[in-house]
Formats: sequence, C-alpha cells, structure tokens
Amino acid sequence: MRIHIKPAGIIRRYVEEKDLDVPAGLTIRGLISLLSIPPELKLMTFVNGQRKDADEILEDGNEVRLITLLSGG
Amino acid sequence: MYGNTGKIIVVDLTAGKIEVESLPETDYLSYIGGSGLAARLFWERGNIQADPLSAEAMLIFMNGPFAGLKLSGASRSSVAGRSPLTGNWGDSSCGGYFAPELRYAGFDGIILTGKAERPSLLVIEDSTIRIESAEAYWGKGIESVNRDLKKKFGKTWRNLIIGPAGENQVKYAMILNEAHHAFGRAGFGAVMGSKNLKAIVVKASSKAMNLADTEGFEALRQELNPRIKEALASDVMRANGTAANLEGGVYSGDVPIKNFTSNFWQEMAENLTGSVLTEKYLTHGGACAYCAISCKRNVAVPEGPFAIPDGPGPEYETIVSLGSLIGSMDLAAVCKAGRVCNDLGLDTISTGATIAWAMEAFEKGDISTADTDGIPLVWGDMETVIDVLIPAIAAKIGKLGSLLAEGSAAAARQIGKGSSDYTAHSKGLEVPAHDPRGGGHGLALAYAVSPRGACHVAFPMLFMEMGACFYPEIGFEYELEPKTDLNKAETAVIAVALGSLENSACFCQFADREVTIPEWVDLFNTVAGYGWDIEAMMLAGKRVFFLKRLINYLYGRTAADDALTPRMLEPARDGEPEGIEINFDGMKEAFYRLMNMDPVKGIPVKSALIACGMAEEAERVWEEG
Repeated sequence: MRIHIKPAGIIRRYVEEKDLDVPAGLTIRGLISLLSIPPELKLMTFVNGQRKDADEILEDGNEVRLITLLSGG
Repeated sequence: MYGNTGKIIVVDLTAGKIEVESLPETDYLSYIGGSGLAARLFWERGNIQADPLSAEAMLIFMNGPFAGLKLSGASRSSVAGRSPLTGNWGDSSCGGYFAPELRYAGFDGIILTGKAERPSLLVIEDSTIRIESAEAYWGKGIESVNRDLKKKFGKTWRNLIIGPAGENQVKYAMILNEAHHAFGRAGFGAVMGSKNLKAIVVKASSKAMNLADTEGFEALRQELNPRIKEALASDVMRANGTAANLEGGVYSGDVPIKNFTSNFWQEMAENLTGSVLTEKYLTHGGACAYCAISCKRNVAVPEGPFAIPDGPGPEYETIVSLGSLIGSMDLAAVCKAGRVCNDLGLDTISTGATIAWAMEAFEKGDISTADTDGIPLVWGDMETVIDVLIPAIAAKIGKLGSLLAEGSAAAARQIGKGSSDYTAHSKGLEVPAHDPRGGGHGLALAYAVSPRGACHVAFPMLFMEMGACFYPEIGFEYELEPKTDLNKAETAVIAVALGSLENSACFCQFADREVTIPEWVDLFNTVAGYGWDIEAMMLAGKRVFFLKRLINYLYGRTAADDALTPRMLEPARDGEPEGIEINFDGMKEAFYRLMNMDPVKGIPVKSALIACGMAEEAERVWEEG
C-alpha cells in the first residue's frame, strides 16, 4: 500500500515529504522504525489530520504527519 | 575560595564611591551565585521597598561559579533586583561574553546603588575600577555605542549597554552584551537608565582561575563538552537556531498566535521556522563564550522593505513575539523588528506581547485612534510596528508610546473595559512564546509560581514535559503527557529546585540538560569545593526558590498572585489543544501541599524554611508567630 509522509520541523532532517510504499498492516511505530527516526525524539503523529498513537494501523492512502516536541528558546 | 573569586564590586553612583568587598563563603554555600546569591545580597542589604527606578534601588549583576570555565553553556550571568515592570523580585539571565571577563578581572559581581549626576560609564580594568563620563553616548542606539566603546577601549573589552529605551525608563528595557546577548526580561535596562549608567566595560589581563580540583574538573569537562556538542538538540540548533523546530511547535499548539487567540497557523509555521531563516537570511552562526552549541544567528536581509545589513539575528522568542503573536508571518520583518528592538534596547518578548494586546484591544474597540495618536493597529502590519510603534515605545512619545511603554498589564489597567482579561502575563511579566495549552500544562503552573512572573527558563519544566531530560536520582522518571495535569505538580517540585540551581550556577538550559545530577554535584565540588552531595545541592536550589518567594511576600505578593490571566486559561480555540481545559487550580493546590507552602500567604511555612536552613529568614516573614 502507499501512504504519504508529511514531516514538520526537524523531522525533515530524517525524511522528506514523499509518497512511500509500505507493507499492509504497518503501524505508526513500525513506520517510525522504518524511517530511522532517533528514538529519543518524542513524536506526535497525525493520520489524515487526526492525532493517533503509535499502535495505529495505517491504511492505503493515509497522510501521516510526523512532528516532535523538541523545542528551543 | 575556589571557582568563585569571593569578591564583588560595590558602587554608590551618587557619591561616586567604589569599593571591593569580600563575601563570606557561607553565602555561596547557601545561595550558590547568579540570581540566588543576588537574592541573598538583596535580602540582606537592599532597600527592598525602594521604587525600582529610584536612586535607593539596588541593581545586582552576579556570575555563577562556572563563569570563565571552558565548558559549553556555563558562562552566563544574572542581573537582579526589584523589577520596574512588575514591582516584584526580578532577575534576568544573559549569555555572551561579559561574565567570564568579569570573572577573570577578579570579581563575581557588581552591586550598584545611587544615581550618577551625569550619564556615566563604569570601567573595570582588572582591579582598577573607575567611573567615566558617558555623555558622548547618551541618546545613542546600542549598535553605535558598542562600536564606539570597542574603538575607544579595544575589541577585546566586553560591555553591557542600554539603549534609549533604558534611558527613557521604559518598563521592559533590556541590557545588551556586545550588542547581541540580552539580559532581556523584567526591565533592568530601565533601572540602569534611572541610575544614569549607560554602560559597563570590563577587561582582564589574565585568565587564571583557581579551582578546587583542577584535574577532576578537567576530566568532567572532557566528558561533558563533546556530549553537549553532539546532542541531537544541539546539532539541530547549531544548524537552524533556537527556532529549528518552530514548525513542530505549531503542530503541537505550543506557538502563540495573535495574542494567544489561536494555536495553529500552518502557513506561518512554514514561513517562520528556523530552516527558512537559515536558507534566506543567515550569514553566519554565533555562540556565547566557550559554547559549542552555537545557537545564535547573524542575518542580513538584502532587499525589500525590511532590508537590514549583516548583524545580530532573531532567536525563537523574538521570531514568535514579533511574528505570529502580532499576526505576522513575514520573516524579513521579524529580522528587522528584532534588530530595531536590539538597537533601542527593548525586550522583544514584552514588546511583542504588549503590541499584541494593543492590536486585539483595537480590533475589539476597547482602544481607538483617540488612544493611539490616530494610528490604526492591525494584525501583521509590520511597517507600522517597525516604523511607528517600536520607536514610540522606546521614546515614550505620544499617547500610544507612553501607554505601551508601561507593559501590557499596566496598559490594560489604564484602559479598563475588561481588557486585562486578554493580557497574557503572570505577576506583570508577559508570557513568553510557549503556550502552556499546547506546550504543556505544567508550564502554566511553572509560569504562575515563578517568582519573577511568567518565564519559560526559570525552571526546566518545558524540557521535562517534552521528555528532553530525565533525572532518576532526584525522583524525576515520569513519562509525561504534555497536555494533562498528571504528575505535573510533582514534576514542578523538582523543577523549581533544579531551575533555581541553573539560574544560580548560570548554566544554560540548552547545555545543562545533557548533564546528569551526579555530574552537577561533581561540577560544583571540583570547581568551587562546595563538598555537596545530591541532597545538599538540591536543598540549595530549593532555598533560592524560597528566598525569592519571601522577597515577593515583602511586596505584598501572596498565593493569589500565583495566577495566569483568563486568556491563558481559556481552552484553546483551534489546533491540537482545541477545547482542552487546564486543571490549573488542581495543580497549584497540589504543588503548594508538596512544597509545604501556606495556601494564603504563598510562602513556605516556618518549619519548611527552618528545614532549609532559613531560620533567620523565617523570622522576618513569620514574626507574628
């Protein structure tokens, strides 16, 4: 299946905005691991604009937004 | 004495009298340095009730024990006294290059009282200290005075300078080091101005320091510097400044928009985030003394209505306060507005927040062109902000400049019509650019109980809620969910002690979050020979927090003042935190109980003070028994 990744802020260091073919049944946790995003970054994830936790199973055509709370200033 | 010099410069500007005093080691052991030691000196010898802009007021600059060490983030210092903006205890922290030079010259701090007859300059050259005329610099912007002082004394002389806003005693005037690094908050530029002190310059001929355990410290330094430099957060800020993750902040609802009326603005996020600043305007990065994080920005805007030459650029707080908070997503305009505030000597956070309040008041009709000298105030109108509002505030000219120069809380009191409800402050200090509704509910509690008022760096609450640090040795092992109250009071108990340590040691939060608690203890012991264990160190932090609360109590501040304005506690209207209520009263009640603080007076009960070794201090506030 194909999903669309939308990173924000410093997550762009690890992945650019793009379509990505992934195995069916992939969870958000699985996606984060697949993208090699460092585990110390505390992530907030949204699927089609709705906040979802790491156990969410992704579906074909989902738009997945990845952000982190790491903040300066 | 190790680490610290044990010496301070005491200046009476009225009499032109300069003395060097030695402080007892017990002062350092009890209150560490920085804003903690400043609070101790203020409590002991300040005319506490004096108007902060009167000659009697005491202004204190104080280093921490690590100033001058080649350790990332460790050479900050504090300025402290009674804040003219809030009327309460105030302190402000600054990085840059002043603290180490003062330390090398042989001093931990400077206490100033009185008022010079003419505009003056305090000159510190090793142990030779004198007052010179500053009449040639009075009325001038900080950029040109910095250039003039470098020309007169030499490039390696370090300085602290106020701008016209400080001279005119704008309540949130700041003090700048090297025309870039700010003692931004609480208005101490106005206090300097009220004393006719335009600048302080310092130069040392030697960098020798006397440490308790040089080898032990060096081993620790070799361990910490690479860790601080290579941390992910440091790497990110080195590349894109402190606004590196502004875009992420917008999606979590942490970034305030239009006077805290909105928590989400996608287009703004894409325009103001740190990587865009890097791509469009960055000329080179910059750093405070000995710091490998290098989060500072230098920028040039080559063309357009907001063109500026290469010079100091905005950090996160400035980008938001002079950007989204006032309805703008124009990064070039932010760069120019920040530059103008720097030159005039205005705190960008309070400037932006006060203008944001005024824009909303105008939109609501609570103020009209009759109050604004005929100027319409419109969200995002950056030409007016830069060309009219900021200069009018700094000069306190016209009805509008005079009104806004008092800060948002006082301006709203003057206007009435319920406009105080939509100010964003605690104890009179404007809320910085992290909205607790999206950033973390514990931050609301931290803003409210902070002695100086709403402050994101008084305590490391923001980082603790984000999961950026863990301190198992002192009981902080929570996996916190930012947008709830769960374990936030318990976290705040740890945060107030730790934050008070940070601001007394004058160690930057960006660097020290990589330092473990046992390493903190080792730093104090190898540098200053305090002989602490974890318990003694944390007790010193708690003591500092308590003492600042006691000073506020002498100003009549009580538990009722540990509050946020209605705007800050209304549920967010949009974005990720939309509709969520902050359980502020519940967190505050629990925090008071855990800290053993009187729920009416807002100060620790007598036995809690005595347990911190503050029996003498307890007598002064609990004398009625």
